[in-house]
Amino acid sequence: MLKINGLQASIGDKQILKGLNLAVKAGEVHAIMGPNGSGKSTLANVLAGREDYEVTSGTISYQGEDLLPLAPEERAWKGLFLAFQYPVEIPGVSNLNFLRTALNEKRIANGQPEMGGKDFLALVRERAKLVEMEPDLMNRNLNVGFSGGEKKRNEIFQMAMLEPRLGILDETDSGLDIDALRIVAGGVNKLRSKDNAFIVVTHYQRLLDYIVPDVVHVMADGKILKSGPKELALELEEKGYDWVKEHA
Amino acid sequence: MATATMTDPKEGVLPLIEGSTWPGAAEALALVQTLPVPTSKTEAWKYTRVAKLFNFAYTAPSGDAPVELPPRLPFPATRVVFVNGHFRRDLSDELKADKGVVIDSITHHLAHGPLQANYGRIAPIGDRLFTAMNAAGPTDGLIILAVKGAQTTKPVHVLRITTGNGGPMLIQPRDLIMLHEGAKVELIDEHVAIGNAASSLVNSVRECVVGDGAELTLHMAQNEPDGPADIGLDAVEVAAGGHFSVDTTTLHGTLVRNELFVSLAGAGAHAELNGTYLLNGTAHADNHTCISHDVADCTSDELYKGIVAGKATGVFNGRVYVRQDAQRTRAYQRNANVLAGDDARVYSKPELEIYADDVKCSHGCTIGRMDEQALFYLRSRGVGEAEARRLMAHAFVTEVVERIANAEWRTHLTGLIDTKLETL
Repeated sequence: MLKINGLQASIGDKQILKGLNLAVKAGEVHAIMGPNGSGKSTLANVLAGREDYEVTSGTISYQGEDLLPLAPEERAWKGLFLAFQYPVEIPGVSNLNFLRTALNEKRIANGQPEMGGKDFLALVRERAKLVEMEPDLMNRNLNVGFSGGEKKRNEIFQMAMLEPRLGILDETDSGLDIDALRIVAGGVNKLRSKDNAFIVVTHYQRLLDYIVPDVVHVMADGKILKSGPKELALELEEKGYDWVKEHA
Repeated sequence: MATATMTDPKEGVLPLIEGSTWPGAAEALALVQTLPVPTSKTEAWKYTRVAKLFNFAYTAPSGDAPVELPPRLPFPATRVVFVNGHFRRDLSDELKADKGVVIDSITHHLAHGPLQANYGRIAPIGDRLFTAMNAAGPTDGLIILAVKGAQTTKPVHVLRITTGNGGPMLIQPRDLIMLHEGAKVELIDEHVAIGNAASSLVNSVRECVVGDGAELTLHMAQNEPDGPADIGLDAVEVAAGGHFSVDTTTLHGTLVRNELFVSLAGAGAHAELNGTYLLNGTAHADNHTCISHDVADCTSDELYKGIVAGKATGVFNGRVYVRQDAQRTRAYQRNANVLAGDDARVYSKPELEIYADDVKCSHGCTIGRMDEQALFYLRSRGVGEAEARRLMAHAFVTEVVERIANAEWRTHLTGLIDTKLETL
């Protein structure tokens, strides 16, 4: 589904990704761990098409297609979804109106008819249950006045609505208490299937107790230093990141 | 040695206003002759250059030009039509529907006591050349007189049509709106240009007297591609417990200057000023407001927001003046701007002058780009860039529109705004 080769990216004059390789197949969940500043969030944002980052070298192939020339919205239409580390508050834009616009633009781009209001609301009700979203939050302005946990739930709710092929979770666990973490992880688990894949970027092993990955990668200094089965996360938790750096 | 011939730039204007028999016209004409044309060195006109308006040899506006009226507003309103500044009874609705409310051409009332008590008093000339020009030779205008407790049952829709392609005209509307105690009047003032009228000048003055406990609501829509230069002054005096609210929406403008002077003259008077400007091309819109808290216990609330794109210019100057004995004044003002182009310009200047000590006043002014973080967020969910920008722009101005009480007007305005946003 996703193949990254020798990816280098920078912001301004600062190079952050320094030759990163990663391959993700349909049906897999990959965890990317690493210390602050290792480039995890940069990778997530580059995949989503954030224009602040400049890709200077390397390739990204997504479902057999070159991802890099595509605009963020085109990537979304092709099934890519980034759950933000810091979801943005947008006053004056209603949560549901925005989501309906996003969903229908995606449907049109994929040659499907627009979804009518009734079907849309039925889908909203069904998917909101996945993350136990309060109906009240749906009609509010996008993320405005949401608590940290509500924002993260809203991210997973949007992901559930848009049904991505490749979901990227950028530190979705940060700022969540244990109950919220369980709800958010539960939502992701219900979305897992043999046809889609997830990349879970996290600083802590804790989230991986709930979203069990197939592969764990450890990033440092803009590269993946080590990859292994889920047990790698536990080992990392125990021995710290320095252990990986020393053994890389 | 070079010699220069000094010519008065007002030569293109003077022949048109000389000989007027309106009240105070002769005195005003004398002031026109002496007051200078504002330049960029004139503080109040620093960002709005008007010298070019005096390059035309204006002709007198013709009121009987044939016009095709635009479609009616999508809700009931009493339509009053002015063509090139002249009242057109034949094109206007029945104006006597509301008991105790006179709606008419001001020219039929120039000799009446109530007019004479207020005409020229609410909008004194001072050092304002354009006010002097208007007073020296008004074209025609609207009078609304509401007796004690009278109400308009539907908004009065003043449609001011400027016809194009007939050479530059100088059109000087002069209105007087008088609300006696407890009266309620809602007015929609819409400017429409038919054809290319960009070389004409509409120089309006409207005086409004809001009596004790009376309520005046004014909606102004300026949506004129190739419209005339539009220089307007609204002077409003609000008595005790009176309420004045205005929303000004500028979607096009060759050169628009909206001056708004509100005097809160009786305890408990309240003014609410809302403005939206969405500009592109070479449009120029200047909102110059002044709220004067003349007595204690008055409140004012002002919000202007604009998106300026292309090579357009937006100017906001908001003055709040609190007199020494205007204690317990509450005055809020905010102006926010989005610059949506490298060649777009915004000048914003809040001016608070406070002489009382027990007041709550706040002001804020922002000029910025559209939030790129938010745009990326929307796009990453599959909202296309153009649509994402529109959503954000809509959200930005919605805050102003939501403050308008009349839901029908709000909906209509939202439609106009969304249509305009498609082009920004």
